[in-house]
Amino acid sequence: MSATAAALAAPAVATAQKTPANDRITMATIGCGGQGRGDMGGFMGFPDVQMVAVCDVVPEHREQAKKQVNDRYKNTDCKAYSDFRDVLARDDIDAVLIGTPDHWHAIITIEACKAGKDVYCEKPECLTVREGRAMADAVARYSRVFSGGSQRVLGDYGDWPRTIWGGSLGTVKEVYVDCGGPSEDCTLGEEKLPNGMTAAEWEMWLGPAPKRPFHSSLIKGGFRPFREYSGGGMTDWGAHRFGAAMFATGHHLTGPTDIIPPDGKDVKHLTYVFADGMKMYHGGTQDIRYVGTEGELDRGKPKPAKPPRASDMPTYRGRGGIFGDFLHCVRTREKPFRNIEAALRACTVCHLGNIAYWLKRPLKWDPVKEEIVDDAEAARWLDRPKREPWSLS
Amino acid sequence: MNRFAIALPCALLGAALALAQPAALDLKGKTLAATFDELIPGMAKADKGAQQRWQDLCNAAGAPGNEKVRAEACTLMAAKLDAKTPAPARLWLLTQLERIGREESVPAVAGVIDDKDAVVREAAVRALANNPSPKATAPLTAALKASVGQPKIGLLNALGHRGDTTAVATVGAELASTDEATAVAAARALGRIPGADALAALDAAKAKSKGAVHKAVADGLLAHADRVRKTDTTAAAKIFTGLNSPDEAKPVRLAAVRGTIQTAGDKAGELILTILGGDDAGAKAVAVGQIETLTAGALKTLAGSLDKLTAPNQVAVVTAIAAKGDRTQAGVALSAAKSADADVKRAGVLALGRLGDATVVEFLLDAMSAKDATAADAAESLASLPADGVNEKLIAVLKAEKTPVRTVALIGVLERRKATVAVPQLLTAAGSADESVRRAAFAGLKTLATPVAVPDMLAALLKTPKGNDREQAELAVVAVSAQAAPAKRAEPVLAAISKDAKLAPELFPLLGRLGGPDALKVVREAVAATDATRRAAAFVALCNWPDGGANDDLLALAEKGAEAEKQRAVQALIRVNAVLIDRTPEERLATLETLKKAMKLAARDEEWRALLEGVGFVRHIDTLRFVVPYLDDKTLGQSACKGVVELAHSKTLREPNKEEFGKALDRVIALCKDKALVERAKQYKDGR
Repeated sequence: MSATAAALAAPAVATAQKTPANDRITMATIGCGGQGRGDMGGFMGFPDVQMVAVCDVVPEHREQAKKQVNDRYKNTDCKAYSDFRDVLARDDIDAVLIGTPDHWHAIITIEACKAGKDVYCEKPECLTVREGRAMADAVARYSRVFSGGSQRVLGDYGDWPRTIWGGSLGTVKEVYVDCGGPSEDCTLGEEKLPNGMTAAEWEMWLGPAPKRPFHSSLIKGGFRPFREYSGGGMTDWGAHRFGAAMFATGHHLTGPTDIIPPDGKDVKHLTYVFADGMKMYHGGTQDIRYVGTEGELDRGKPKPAKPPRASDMPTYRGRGGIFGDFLHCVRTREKPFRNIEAALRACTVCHLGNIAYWLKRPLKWDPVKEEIVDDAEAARWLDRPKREPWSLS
Repeated sequence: MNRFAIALPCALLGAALALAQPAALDLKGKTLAATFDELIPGMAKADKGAQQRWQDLCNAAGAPGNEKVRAEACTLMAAKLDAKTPAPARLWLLTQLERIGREESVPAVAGVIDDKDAVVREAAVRALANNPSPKATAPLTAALKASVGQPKIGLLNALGHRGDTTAVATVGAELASTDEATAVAAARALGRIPGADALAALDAAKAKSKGAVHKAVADGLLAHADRVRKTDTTAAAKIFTGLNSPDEAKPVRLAAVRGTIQTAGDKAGELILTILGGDDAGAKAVAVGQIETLTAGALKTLAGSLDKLTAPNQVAVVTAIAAKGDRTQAGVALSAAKSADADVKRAGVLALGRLGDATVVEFLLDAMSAKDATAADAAESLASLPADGVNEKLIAVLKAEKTPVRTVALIGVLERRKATVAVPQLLTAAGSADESVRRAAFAGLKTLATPVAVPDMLAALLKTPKGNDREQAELAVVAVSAQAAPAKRAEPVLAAISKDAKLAPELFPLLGRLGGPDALKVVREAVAATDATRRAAAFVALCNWPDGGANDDLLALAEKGAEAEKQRAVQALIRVNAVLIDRTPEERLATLETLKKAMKLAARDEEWRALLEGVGFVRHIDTLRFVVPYLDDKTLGQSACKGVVELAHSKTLREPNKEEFGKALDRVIALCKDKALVERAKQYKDGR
């Protein structure tokens, strides 16, 4: 059954304990490395999900994922693919879980939207700022439900946003965020393709990224340090923690106006300044640290008393954390907690930080127009042309 | 004051200056050209240092105010793009030109967009795609005619990326290509190029195209419609209407439905009602999803006709209205909450939780008391009801409530609301004669109260019967007191005892749970006292001690106390010492010594086993030496295995004592009957 049909055929408030097969949300996993398989296992824990296909260009990942699905359902029904377009062409799939490296997130998300699929996409949801907006446009245009995969914004810090939204810190003036640094150009050497992996599959792994020879590190999760495929630690844990900091302080649907890289003198940490004066620093903590007019929040330090719940604080819908939130929204067509707008705003902050680091100069950002102001060359980093035949539409 | 509070204004000033003045390039006294010449050989060998140095200079050259340097850098690079330069350098230079190249580099980059080296060719196309000079379009369109296959698609993608309207005619001509992938790329490019000409080209292709090309054409038209919608809803509506056809693929048709609703203004309500009255499940889902975008007029129309919809549709609409969060629609939620249909009723009750205010508290309380499926939802809605005055209203109801069941439910709601203002009323409830009410009140206080409330909690606690009821009350006091500094936690209890010594036997067990040096002093005096009741309570206090602060007292009792006391004292020693807590190396040794003594004083297998299993949390090499001799003991061997494995869990302890741990783990692997434990032992033996 298609989820859109299920949305109206069954009461939206009902959460079935034992969901009939034809009422289940059918899903496929695209990108079945460690994170993708982990997420897939999480989704398969829901009785109203039926995972029907897996897709990965790395044969080992593909086969492991297929086995995981078949073991879960005790059958041999799961189909395995190496080209995501074959998955999207299936009419019987309601939603896709995207667990590929970052450089594929935008294209697969957009194509999934065009194919009428809802999308759960691992974080960081986009590789560039413009990718994020293109994804948001596609999600809106095709009325799709999209959830980014940052379970930590609420999962790790559930109490903290409530404390801050409830006013226990007064007005937050400063936030310190810890995560890794920016990515850099890939300089890995060349290795032989592993047994079982074809040149075409490697070509597909690269996809929209510039052509380069095979290196095993890249297919084993070692792509993160490299700009062609990722924003590095800034977008890896940054997508979680900057996202969490922006959400907790109510800046999750906007962005900074100034991004100032460290200068080795007065500015110790990369600094974001928001229109209301709040400053967010990259560093200065081992996690996230909030400094408000009436108190501080820091891991391992005494916490201020929990205030009454803030009535307007967004949270997950349904039950079962971020996966449950997504599945609930697939049925009700609501916006998930980590909807595309929240996701792209969190990623934008990470990307702007990277650009400031890379160019070693302060940037001015218009969070409404989503433009870098008065720095035409810096603005060119907001987007990247894709390698043929791939494009962002 | 935080140092950044001072540093940042200075930094901002610096940043402003940086924007006003061009950043100087660090050329180390050389010219840019000389530096480039010096670095090119390194770039040709893909030397990371040379590449990075040149990239840093290019990045700096691209800074505002450095136009002259930027142009010079690009001219230098442009001159080295030909085939005489090794490929790694050409690729690196093209990457830099993709980021900072402008008009000056267009001819040279254009010269390699048909390069024999496919990687160089493709990089050159991307460099032109990202070049802001209008002159970068012409080489791409010129190359388009002569190219085929993937290179042609690359050129079309580049033109789409540029969004230059002058390319429309050339790109549009490719819509008729017999190669499907080329025609698709052309349609995609036209979707990205704004303006009437690109729109017209796609519109003209709509009727003629088929399959994948048609899908791309339709997607391009949708993209144009979304752009046009911002300034001309009528024109956008025309595009959406044209695509809302059964001939289109389902996702395209549904996207058109969404666009049609978004451009319908106040008429969107009627449109949604019509869609919901139909049988297209996909369109219904889209319509429901668009409720959040509706104008007030459209929403009014929709809400006004809610009762004409089928129950599933009512549920969907009410849920969507609730998600919109427009509290002027609370009436819709309330009407639904009164529905005779169970599903609609539940949706309405849940919607009230998002849209309601203090006026719906009584309705929800009644729903919560009803013996149907909505009771839990009503409690959920009361717990989340977002409005001023809700807590106060709930407290007023709580004050007047006589029924224990409803009182307990109300307390639960207030607790979930984190209603700290309810603490005074919870303190009253904690003194209730009804056990369920008392328990709920103490549970609520545990979450909501601060240490200020502890004296009043003590008064209520003293009214609770001893046993489980009293224990729960004590745990609530301990939880609230934990918000205070450790040395101050027992203060309110000590003050109560000081005020009325007769309370001591009643409060000593709690005093023990709170711990601290002042409390210990009082308890010690009582243990030494002749008053049997007082002494017995003090003994319980020592057994309840939260940390090792009372170790010496417990050891003394375990050795010389009454027979009944010895066993409990040993158990208490094991409970507080054989656990995982942060300890300094000295504290670990002291704890181990205490446990060794407890081992000698214990008289039963149960205590010996518990001690050997828990002592593994005391991470010290001497602990291993203490446990290992018990491995062969018939009765205690398996517990000793657990102790060894737990000690080995600490890599910090294991690594410097690898040999000793290796031997101990080998014995565990040979002796242990617990397979999971053996696996852990093997893992640690392998250094994992």
